Amino acid sequence: MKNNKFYVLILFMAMLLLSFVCLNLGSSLFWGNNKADFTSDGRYTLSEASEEIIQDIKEPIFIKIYMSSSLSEEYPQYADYARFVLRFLNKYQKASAGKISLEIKNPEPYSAIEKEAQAAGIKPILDGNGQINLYFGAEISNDAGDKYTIPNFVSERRSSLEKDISRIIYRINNPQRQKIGLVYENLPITDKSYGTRKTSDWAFVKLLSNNYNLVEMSSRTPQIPLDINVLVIVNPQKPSDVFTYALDQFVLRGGSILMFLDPYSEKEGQLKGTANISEPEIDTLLQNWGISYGKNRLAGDVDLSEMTLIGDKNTQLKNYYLWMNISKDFLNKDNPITEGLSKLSLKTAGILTPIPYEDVEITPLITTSPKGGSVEAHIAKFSDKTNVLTLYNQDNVQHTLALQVTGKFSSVFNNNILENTPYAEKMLPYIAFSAHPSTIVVVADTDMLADENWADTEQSENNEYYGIVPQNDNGNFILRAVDYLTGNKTLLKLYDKKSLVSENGIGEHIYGKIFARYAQEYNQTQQDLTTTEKQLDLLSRNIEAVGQGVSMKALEYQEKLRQEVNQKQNKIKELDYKIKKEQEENINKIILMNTIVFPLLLILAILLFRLFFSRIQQRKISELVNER
Amino acid sequence: MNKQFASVYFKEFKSYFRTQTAYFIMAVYMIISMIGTFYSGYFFFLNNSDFVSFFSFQPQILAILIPAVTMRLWADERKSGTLEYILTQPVNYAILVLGKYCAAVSFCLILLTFTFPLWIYTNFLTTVDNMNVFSGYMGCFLTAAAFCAFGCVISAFCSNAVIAYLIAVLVSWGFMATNFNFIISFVAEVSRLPMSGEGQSFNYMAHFQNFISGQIGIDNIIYFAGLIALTLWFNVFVIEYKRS
Repeated sequence: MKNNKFYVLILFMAMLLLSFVCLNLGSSLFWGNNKADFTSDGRYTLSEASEEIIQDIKEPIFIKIYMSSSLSEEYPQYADYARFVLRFLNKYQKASAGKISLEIKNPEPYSAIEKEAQAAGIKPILDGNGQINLYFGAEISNDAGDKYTIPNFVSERRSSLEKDISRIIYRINNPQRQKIGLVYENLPITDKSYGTRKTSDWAFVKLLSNNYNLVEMSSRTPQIPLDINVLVIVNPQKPSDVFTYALDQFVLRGGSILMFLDPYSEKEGQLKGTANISEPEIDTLLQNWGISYGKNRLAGDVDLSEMTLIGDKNTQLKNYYLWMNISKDFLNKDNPITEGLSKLSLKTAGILTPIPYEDVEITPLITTSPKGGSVEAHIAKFSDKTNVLTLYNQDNVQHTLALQVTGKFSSVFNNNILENTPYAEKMLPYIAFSAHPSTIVVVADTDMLADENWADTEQSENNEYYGIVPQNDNGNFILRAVDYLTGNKTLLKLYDKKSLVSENGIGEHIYGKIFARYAQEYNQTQQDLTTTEKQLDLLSRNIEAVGQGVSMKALEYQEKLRQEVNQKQNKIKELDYKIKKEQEENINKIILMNTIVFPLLLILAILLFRLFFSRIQQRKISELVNER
Repeated sequence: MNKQFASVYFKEFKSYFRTQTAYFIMAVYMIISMIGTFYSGYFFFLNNSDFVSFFSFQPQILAILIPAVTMRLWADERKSGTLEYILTQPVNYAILVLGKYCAAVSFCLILLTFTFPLWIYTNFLTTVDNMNVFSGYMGCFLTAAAFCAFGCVISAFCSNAVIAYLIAVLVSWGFMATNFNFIISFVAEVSRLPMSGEGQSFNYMAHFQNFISGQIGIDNIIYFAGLIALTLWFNVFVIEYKRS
């Protein structure tokens, strides 16, 4: 009898298990793909554009993720990001209804999978001891052989992950890459060798070539090829008549232009010296397109200015009005190019003024705030920043820094400029009026293109595009402008996700807060140290040049400078130590508070609560006893 | 509230605080949780907007501590001989089981609220995604509730609280760490259904990860609710079996 009951118990347990299995199978089959996103920033929700791109998938797409199992142990920050990436890619897979397949591979050292990962272009990350290769990248491909590789997932690009993946899927779906022309002078924006000096592509060039077929073009070409729909022109000098004709005809045939002009390119000044900076002279064409460009004045803004160290002797952290961080309030929200952008960084930008023409629509894209001002370009070029601030004219005008012109134009030429030459026969016929409306986007700054003004490229050595970490929206502006001009409407709907997750750990936040208290002193000492080191270096070289005839005074001065350098270095070390010590103290305090103090207080509160109730109970009991 | 349920519930709940066990469990939980969060969870090294350093180790910590909360539920009644008395009372066994279970779960809820100061404190240190953290706490609560259900059943089988504790730790750990995908593979093979996407539906960790990532689905809720309901039903059955 007892045995029978036991069997019933086992049977009941088995039935319960079976019903649990069925319940779960059913629920995951029916609702497994539907998840509520309980994150404030909707970080796991695919955007409408991504959904659209996924729906358009024609051939199955394979995503192979190469992730070393020991990656999370070696780099805890990767563990968090890896979870995010896998979960997010899983969303793509689920949204695709079987069109995307996801495979996770663990490349063990010296295994066949490691070789496969390397062949796919996944770049290794060394473990803590620098001995074992770890991997965390992906290969996205289809049956047709189109293949894209993300050599490493860089956690700082967390907010761009959706954009990156959706763009890759879009490109796999649309393998024919559009050609865009790139014309530049004076700035070494592409990978070239200048004698012994080698330059690599600027980050924005990597950005464009990752998405488009970028064709470098000469600024002497008489004709833009017909297969090029968009031209990106950077800092054009006085263009030859032949090239002016080429641009004129390109626009009249419906071509679009994204042009960056600059009355004072600080980057060019850094590379060539301020005296050798060239000024663009392209007024005739610009005026013909409805744009007046003041090449002698620079725009500034008190409210949007960036802080920097100003002054030679008494260096101070001050706002430099010509370096502007344009916030979203001054970016045209209604224009697809600037819509959704939140911050652009422009330095010593020029001023654009629209010239109203019939049939031409002019839209400002980037402006200063109504508290704009200006200064003569030559003052900024040849004086120090203190002087620039003194001579700065606060005219309270909202200056336009970038604009878009759309419409039909007439030619600035009366006939083919190469008429009556053998070249004319090979050229397209001259046209006097626009055949189709065209769009021209002009930005009065080239410094915004320089890597240091928008991107951290530290990790992009092995990871050309996916290692670029944007610091603001300059890169997005450039890419969106080209997307818009090439007519890629779906891509324009892809934005960076506004993520709550910053890459800085809590310890770094604590460090930052403490550092802020010492920042002024720290920066001042650092600046003084740099100046003194320079002086010492100069003096030492002079002493070396003079040789034995050097005066005692010079040697004494050299010694004094050495001592000063030592003192300042020690002060910086001391400040570093102080900040780190305070950070450690704060961390210990937090641990102590949460491990001991708070729990003790809560337990004490419960004990008091218990005591209070037992007193009440005792009182009630004694009252009852007394009554009886 | 059902009177029978209320009397069982309050009796059990108060009993936790009559001895030092509750305070000891609270203190141990806090110390282990905080050490796990600050040291093993790299709390200061990570951004922790989703409080991941804290949630990562909760299943393991709860698997060790929850059995200590539930070990006495039935075992002590049997040891002291009060079980026979209770079972002869005109009370529904389901209410009896539910009352004891809810008391244990309420105690677990108090345990979890002990960590709220850290949540509040973290808000001052960094930007915290409070919705995500709330979802993580829901995951922890459901985990604790599931482990309570296991503890209840195991306690009903044992007359010794220590043995009940050890078995419950073993079962909870096993449940948490075992990969149950073989069930899916088997079902998929037999039925030839395309089930690759549902491969995680039996793994506890996959469901818990959904909660701490803020990705809650009906399947996750059903998983925990089903697990708890079926385990408690089994508990009722065990009580009836023991009585007979």
